[in-house]
Amino acid sequence: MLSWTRRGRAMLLGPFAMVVAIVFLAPLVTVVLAGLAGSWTGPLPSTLGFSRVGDALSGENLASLSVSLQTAVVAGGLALLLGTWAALASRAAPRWLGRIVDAAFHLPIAVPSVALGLGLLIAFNSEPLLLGGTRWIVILAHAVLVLAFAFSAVSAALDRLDPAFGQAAESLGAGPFRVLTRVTLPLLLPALGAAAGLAVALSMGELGATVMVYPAMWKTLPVTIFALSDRGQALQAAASTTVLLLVTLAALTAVGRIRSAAAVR
Amino acid sequence: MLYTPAGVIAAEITFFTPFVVRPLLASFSMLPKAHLNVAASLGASPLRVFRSVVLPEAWPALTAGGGLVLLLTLNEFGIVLFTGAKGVTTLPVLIYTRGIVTFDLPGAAVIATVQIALSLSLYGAYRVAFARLTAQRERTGDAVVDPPR
Repeated sequence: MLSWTRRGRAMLLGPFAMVVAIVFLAPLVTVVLAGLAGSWTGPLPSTLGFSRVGDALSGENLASLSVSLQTAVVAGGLALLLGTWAALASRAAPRWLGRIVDAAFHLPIAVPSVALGLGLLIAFNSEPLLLGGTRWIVILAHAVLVLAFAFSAVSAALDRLDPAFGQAAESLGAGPFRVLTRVTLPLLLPALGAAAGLAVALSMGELGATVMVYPAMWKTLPVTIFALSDRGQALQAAASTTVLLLVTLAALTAVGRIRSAAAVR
Repeated sequence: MLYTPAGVIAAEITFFTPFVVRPLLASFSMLPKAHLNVAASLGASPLRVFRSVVLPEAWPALTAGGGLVLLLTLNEFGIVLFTGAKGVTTLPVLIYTRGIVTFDLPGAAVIATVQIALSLSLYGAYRVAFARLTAQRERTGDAVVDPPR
């Protein structure tokens, strides 16, 4: 410890706790309170109730929530599949090629999501690959963004993986496919679970690329929330944000459950 | 307050602080408590312990987290859009307004190219620095885990 006395510790921890409260807790509490408030004109919200949350769970807002969940599941699944494949393949490839693949797959992290959305919008808005105006362009945008994180999680896990396991299985006569499905993938399961959780969380909150490409019939919840707050309905937007937060947390918990169940097996 | 550059910066600090905290926590967990105790028992003041024991261990995580956050804030879009600050038109917001609000796709593409070049050069510098740092660590070895020779 840097500080030895009880008083010194209190003097260090007190201001730290205050900063945490102001910087991290206050915004969250404000959003939840605003979501529950009937109106907020004075310093404190008045007529607290669940009517706005009810609105957030019906009609167009509910449809948006469902769109967000579907997009997260499909895009996350696609990204996980491709990312794992690419990470495994870049190990087997020559070193220089592996490096190029590694850099290329990390690009969506480096490039602003708005620019990525603009690129997709321009590239897929005409023949031969016409995706503009369909749900697939949103799913594609999410998949590309999440792919970078899936690839990076899996290849980091591969770095730590002891190659002796696979070699032992091979020496005992297992084919490459058998080694992949019985040795490598089971060992990668924790990393895959972590990547799935990250994919869901990122996709549920994605705004930059989505706002560039979304068609009117496939509005994700963040886009709807932005539209609400842009129209001046900040309180309703806060209620929808609270719902988004809770659903994302629930989805993450579900992914974590599956993950620990898989780990026990 | 929220509609000024300071408001946007405050919101981004809230959002991006965890990106620095996570790597820092990881590097602190590598630092044995005994090192701090030994340094203090040899008479180093808390400030000195912090400067010559804690900081060298935390430096790589700090630069890595800081570099990443610099890149992410450069690319940040949602926060700036939501706060709707009039005086704060960052490049991503400019791409959005050009491309979607006024539907000038070629104009938006030009700005996006500039932004991508900026982001990529920053990202390239980050990767080079990070690779150098890890290479240096591997060469000198980690004093914490190396046995005495």
